[in-house]
Amino acid sequence: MILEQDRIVAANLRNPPPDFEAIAADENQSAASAVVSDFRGHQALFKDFIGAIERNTTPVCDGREGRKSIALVEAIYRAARNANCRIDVPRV
Amino acid sequence: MDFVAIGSPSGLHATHGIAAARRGLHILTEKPIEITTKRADALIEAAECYGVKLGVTFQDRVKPGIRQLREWIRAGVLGRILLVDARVKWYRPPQYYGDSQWRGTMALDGGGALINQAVHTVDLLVWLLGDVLRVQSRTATALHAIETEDTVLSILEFSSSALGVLQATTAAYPVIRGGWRSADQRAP
Repeated sequence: MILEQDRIVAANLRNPPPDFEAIAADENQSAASAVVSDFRGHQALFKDFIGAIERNTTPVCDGREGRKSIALVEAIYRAARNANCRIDVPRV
Repeated sequence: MDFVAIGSPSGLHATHGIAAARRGLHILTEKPIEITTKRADALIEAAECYGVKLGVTFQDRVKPGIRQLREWIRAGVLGRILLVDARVKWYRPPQYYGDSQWRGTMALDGGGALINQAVHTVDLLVWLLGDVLRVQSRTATALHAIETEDTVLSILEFSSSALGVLQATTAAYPVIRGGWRSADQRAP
């Protein structure tokens, strides 16, 4: 299963579901640029948030969900600072 | 006014978000939520205390292809996930950092390629595959004249027992989408 940006570009499963071939490919490539040129993702996210306010529900990524990535980022940085198990490759 | 969308430097999201919460305004902040869990917690607590919604702009979560993949993973269509490979080999020109007072600074960006660019992918890894229990990593400032990393490698151990690797950089020119196809997009 290969996801490229937000598109499933390759999938090869032993037991694919019936709707497997009918995947709509999305052409959004804006995440690879510093300038967001395709706003559909942001638009959908804003709609989700406004809907959460209007219906008093939880947005797709609330504070507790949004915290998870930063907790993992912190751990990755901490591990990089404490990378004290590097083995020097012997010189030939 | 019902809510504010915060697009300030990452390390100011809590400051600005808490100010909004105090005025009873819902908060939709850009990613990442903040640059440390401590500051994120202050923002989350303020939103709960003042009874306002708090959302983080991880727009990949609402995109059709990714929602489809999440449904398949949750339904077991992919079987048990054993190994995941996440590559964020992007490019930012030197002026992306040079023209900015905050990008690539510890004080306001909290890091470099990982916390600013690859955080979308980090969010997806956790959203799609669950919590990570253990990591090993190595960072480098390979290309850019910044105080934070522009390149990071990490090995991830998920609570599901899946293993993963994450590679992220803003030093790979030109942009190689997904890291496996030939480049078809030129950096600015």
